[in-house]
Amino acid sequence: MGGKLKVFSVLVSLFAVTAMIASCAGPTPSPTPTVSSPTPTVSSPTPPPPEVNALTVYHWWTSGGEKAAIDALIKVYATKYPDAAIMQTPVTGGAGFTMMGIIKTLVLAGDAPDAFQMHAGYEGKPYFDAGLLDPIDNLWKEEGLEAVIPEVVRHMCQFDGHYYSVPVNIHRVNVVWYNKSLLDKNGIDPTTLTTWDAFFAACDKLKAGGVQYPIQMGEAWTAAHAFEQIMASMGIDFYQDLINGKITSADDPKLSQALEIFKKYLGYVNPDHAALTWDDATKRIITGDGAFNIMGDWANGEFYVAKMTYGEDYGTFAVPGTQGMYGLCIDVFQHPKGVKHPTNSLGWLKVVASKEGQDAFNPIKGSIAARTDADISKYGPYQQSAIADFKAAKYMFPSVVHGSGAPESFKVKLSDIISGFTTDLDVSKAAQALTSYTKEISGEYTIQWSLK
Amino acid sequence: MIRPRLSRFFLYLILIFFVILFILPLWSALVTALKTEQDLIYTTPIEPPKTPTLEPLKTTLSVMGRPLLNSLTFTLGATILSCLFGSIAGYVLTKIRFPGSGIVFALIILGIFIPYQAVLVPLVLTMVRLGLYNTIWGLILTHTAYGIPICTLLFRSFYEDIPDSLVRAAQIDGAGTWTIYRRVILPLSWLPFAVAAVFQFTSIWNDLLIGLVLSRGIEAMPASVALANLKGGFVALWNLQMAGTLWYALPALIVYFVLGKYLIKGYMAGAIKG
Amino acid sequence: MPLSWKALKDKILTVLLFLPALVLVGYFVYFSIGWNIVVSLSDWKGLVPSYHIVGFSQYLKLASDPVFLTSLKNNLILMALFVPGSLVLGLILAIFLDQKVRFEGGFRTIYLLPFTLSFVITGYLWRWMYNPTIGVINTILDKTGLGFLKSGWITDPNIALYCVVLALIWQFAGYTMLIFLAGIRSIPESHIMAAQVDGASGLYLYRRIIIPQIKFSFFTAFVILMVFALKAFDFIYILTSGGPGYATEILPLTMYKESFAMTHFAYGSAIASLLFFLVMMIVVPYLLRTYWRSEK
Repeated sequence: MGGKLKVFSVLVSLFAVTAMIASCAGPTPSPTPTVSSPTPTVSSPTPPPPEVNALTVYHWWTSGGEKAAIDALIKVYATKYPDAAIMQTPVTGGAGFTMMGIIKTLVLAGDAPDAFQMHAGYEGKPYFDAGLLDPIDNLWKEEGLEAVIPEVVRHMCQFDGHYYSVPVNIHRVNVVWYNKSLLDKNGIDPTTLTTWDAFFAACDKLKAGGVQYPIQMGEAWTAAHAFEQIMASMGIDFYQDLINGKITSADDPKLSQALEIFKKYLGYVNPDHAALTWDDATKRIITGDGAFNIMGDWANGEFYVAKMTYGEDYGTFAVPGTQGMYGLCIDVFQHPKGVKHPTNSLGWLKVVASKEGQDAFNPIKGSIAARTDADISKYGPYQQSAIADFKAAKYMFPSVVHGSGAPESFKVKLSDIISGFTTDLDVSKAAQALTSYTKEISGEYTIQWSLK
Repeated sequence: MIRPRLSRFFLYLILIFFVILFILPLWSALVTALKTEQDLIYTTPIEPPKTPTLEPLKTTLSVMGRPLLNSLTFTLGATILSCLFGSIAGYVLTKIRFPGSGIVFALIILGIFIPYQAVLVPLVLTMVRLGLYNTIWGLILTHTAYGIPICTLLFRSFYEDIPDSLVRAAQIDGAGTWTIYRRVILPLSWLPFAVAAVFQFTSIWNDLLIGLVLSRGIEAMPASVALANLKGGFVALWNLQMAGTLWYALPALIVYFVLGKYLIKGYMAGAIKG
Repeated sequence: MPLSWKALKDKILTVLLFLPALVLVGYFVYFSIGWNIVVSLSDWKGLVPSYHIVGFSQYLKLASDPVFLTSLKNNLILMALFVPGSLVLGLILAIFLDQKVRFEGGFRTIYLLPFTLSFVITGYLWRWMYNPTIGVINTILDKTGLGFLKSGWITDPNIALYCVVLALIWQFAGYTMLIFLAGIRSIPESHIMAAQVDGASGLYLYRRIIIPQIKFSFFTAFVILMVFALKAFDFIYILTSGGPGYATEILPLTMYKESFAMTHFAYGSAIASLLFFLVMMIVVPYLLRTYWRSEK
């Protein structure tokens, strides 16, 4: 009995010790909020004192520059509301795949946080349909937001004509990142790449010049992301019909055309794309293994870390065919109904929507402010050019892949279908799958966009 | 021990081949954990760092310190409890024949296969109602409950082989159920305890989904969640993630080492198999 | 025999000891299953809970959903390959290590190492290993002149699933080995020596004498491997996210996507319920056979 009893008692005492330490090391109740430095540390929450002067915020900005950005925003909140105890709960997982599961579970259990990050548009729809969001028209009016936020963006924050969320940032999705020295070496002028023909001709040139795979791409969702931009390049009318659930015929010429273009596109893409994360692909532009990469402008952070200079080492241009169009990936926060700390929740939204908050958050995050009155001087060179494009944009469109433009189910299905397409290159099969699914979920297209 | 012999050279060759196979990813994790961000971009995952640094390890330790403590606490707690309950259940189901024990057994072990995604919503509902949401005890309770089925199976299978004569001998001496358990059954159970403990520890230590859904903020956050959080939504700093992995694997490794020794320790005195 | 006070106390004590296990399992397991079944039969829409039963429409939808059927097929293939594969590799390693090897403890620890790493990390590591361009496997194949064996691995929809199985076996073989080694070591010396006196040696010894004696280990390992096969959700999500297309999609992944990403809770619950019944159908006959025999 000796040996086993010994092990057992060791385990039990270990448990007792750790339990004691865990309970002693608990947070000391103090009302000041804790803010972490830009290095990745998990902020330790202070438990809310008996009155409800606290705020819980869920988001998925869990590391690196993203984390620094949200911390900066929280700091602004803390200076305006110094008595509130803020509890951040970052939940990791690509674009909120995991967090969405958690949030929905919590909402069903009646324990929703005061604020949680979401993408604008359809991503918030289930919560709106379930009556879980409170309208914030008053807040928009008080803060004078309608004057400084463009129309399509406003529309993305509404359901049934009322405002339910405020935007934190604007990321652009229809961006091609390129390695300048590779282009220079092969005599390619990026400003001429405004059509797919010109773009593919440039790719041919690069191949002849020794770049085996001129276009670098990553895993499934990045393929869907690239394809989404191709669809946008088919014209704003087509894109609008698509996200309004109107493309239901498998023979639709523009849909087939988009797929054909994507098929040609894939001919220049690295064969190991399915194994790469999005940033693996972008890194290859940095190292010169590839020349082009279609990605949202969070990719800018990669170049920044690699100490590259915009305009000298790398550059950007709009995806061919989408000049004058600004594809939107927008993060928002909303006002859930029956939250535990409603005053603080509204205060948080005010800070998020304010000029000060946005100019604190976005420069670090790599996105641009959702407000047209942002202080440009605070932003880096790429962002300044993005802001200029934003102000001059003819059309704006909500991204599907990033949760805004189409129902959630469509977004998930699109990614799966495109992932299959990258291997079998079967245009009619993909067109069939996409259109039949659109028909199947036609009841879910409750938002009708008008982008012109 | 006299064992059948196989060609020594061949044997060692194969063993070492497997060693390389098994250790390669860990080597990669180790070297990546010591790299700066510049190194990450310009070196392949197998190459050692050009300018090694301890920064990632230091940073991640400060992030994961408390979660590691949490995990250690509820993993040990739930492991001990589920092993204990499983052992008792296994004993009752084998040595104490009551009508329907077969059915009860079947019902218990069907619980082994429940997929966690399916239980998320009812689980959270329950924990919130019990006031155990975001607490270590909530995690202990959950993991104990979901661990009992497999522990019961392991112990029951094992206790089946314990001859009834042993139990009867003790009964004749006037021992009650609990005494028999303590004096006769328990001392013989080191093998299933070790197997169950290793399995439970791993299962619970590595669980991500339940920890995610039942914790908010750092008081009860498991290390697995903290580790996953090192990967950003759009940003992935590999050196931090690998450094975090090393810290995360450390306590588990220690536990396996200790328990593993008991698993392999050797022989049964023959009272069972004899 | 009259029921004495002592016997009564004994019975009560037994019940008290057994009760916590029953209550915990009964609630946490069966309440959850029940919840899933009810929701799968209900008219739950979006995030508006409803437990009002309307019928089997979700199940009918499943029967004609190609994604579900692919997912189901993949799940079965995964289980059929992963479990025997791990058992065999674990057994082989255990037998090898039983050969009075020097540094046995070291070998054992190294083989166990993958098991200690979380799925999240091994998922990423294998993703990189399998990379067709710069991954370790293809690079090594090239360098050793076996370049013709190169392949797209997880980017090739035809073999992606098998690549996943291989990676999973890698992760669990060490644990299976441990179980088998313990089982082998617990066979009394007397049995082995008796067989050797009779002239048995080498492989024959293992095949006829030792392996049949470790039924407990086999059974344990089998069940545990089945459990992990089902829990491979995290791993597969990181490694392939079910892709390319649906080549590596498995039921837990489909269920999660439907319920939590697409907010189709009723549909997701139907998948979960079916998953549970699927497992029941596999394991119950095995259990019945094993225990019916021992009851005799």
